[in-house]
Amino acid sequence: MSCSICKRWLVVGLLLLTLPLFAKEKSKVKPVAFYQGMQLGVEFGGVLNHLVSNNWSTAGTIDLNIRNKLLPTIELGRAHLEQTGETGVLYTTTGNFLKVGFNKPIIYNASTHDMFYVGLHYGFSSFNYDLRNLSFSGGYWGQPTITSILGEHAYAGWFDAVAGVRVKVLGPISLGWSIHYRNVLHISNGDNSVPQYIPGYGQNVNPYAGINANLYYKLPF
Amino acid sequence: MGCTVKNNRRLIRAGAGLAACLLLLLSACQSKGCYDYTDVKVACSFYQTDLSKSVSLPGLSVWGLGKDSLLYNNQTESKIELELNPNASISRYVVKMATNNGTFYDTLTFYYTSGTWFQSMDCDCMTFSTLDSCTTTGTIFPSVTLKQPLVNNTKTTHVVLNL
Repeated sequence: MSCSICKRWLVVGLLLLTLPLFAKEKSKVKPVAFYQGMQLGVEFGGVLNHLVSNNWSTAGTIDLNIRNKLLPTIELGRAHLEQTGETGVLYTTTGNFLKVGFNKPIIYNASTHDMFYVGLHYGFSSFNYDLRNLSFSGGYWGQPTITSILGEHAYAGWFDAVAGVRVKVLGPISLGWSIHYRNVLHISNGDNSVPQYIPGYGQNVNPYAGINANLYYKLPF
Repeated sequence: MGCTVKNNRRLIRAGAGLAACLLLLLSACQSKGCYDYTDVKVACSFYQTDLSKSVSLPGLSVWGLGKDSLLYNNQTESKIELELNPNASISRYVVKMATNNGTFYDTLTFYYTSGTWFQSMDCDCMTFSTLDSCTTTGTIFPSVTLKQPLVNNTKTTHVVLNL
């Protein structure tokens, strides 16, 4: 099965996820206040990655709950990656990222604030990266060379389609995880290279899928 | 109320499980391998000025000045592709043309500046160059036209050797 067919089935599957969830009994709906609270979140999956490698990423989120129907979200994060290629190339990068967008609860439990949601975000990152142990043969002239490219700078913007769950665990604390389908919208390369990893996005391939694990705290106001 | 909460949790768990499967499916489709063209050479075509057209030259042999190995060995070619020395700013090639009227030699000299370009972890890096000029000794090629000074992994004609 080719990658393009897999990706089409993924999109169909994500859409099918939402279809049965719209079936609900009609009932009298009480008017809901416009502001339903604010939640602070922290993405901790990338931090756990640091236990087994030099790579890490983390982000803090703020989302508003508007009438339990829309959750505008801002996310600010930072990531670090060290990656060695098969040819021995060492790629290191550190950078910040910002995401803005909204999530929409598909299933929402007003008493526990559990939800299954989908959302759309725009992400942006500005980052620096270095490349070491770049080796290439001299070809016909036969003089192999090892070199480095240091201090490259790049920035990128992408859209991020998300589907996730959030479940109350204790008091104002909730846990959740989400899957992300990302596609780069625009990218500026370094002066001498194409960036291989974009903080907040992942490997510089289109599209790219990721999974986040989040811890949330519902503010008391 | 309790039944609704239980149903919601079941749906949430079902959705989470399906999403995990879909994520695994997509993650298996990450592209691997180098799909970019990584050959970087100066392409030189031959142009007959009085006929106003591109031509093929017979009996061509080409080698780098000071090198023993031949890039072209007594071949008929309409275009020759030559590598620039990534560790120098000048590369010279000897062109020999054996015809019924005799054997002729010319030396092509390329002047350029080079830089490293890293494409990807799979494709690794290449050396891109910008040609400043190209000269000949004039025996076979009286003049040279610099058509495209940027020498990268894009297939194009960079230099036209006029006959």
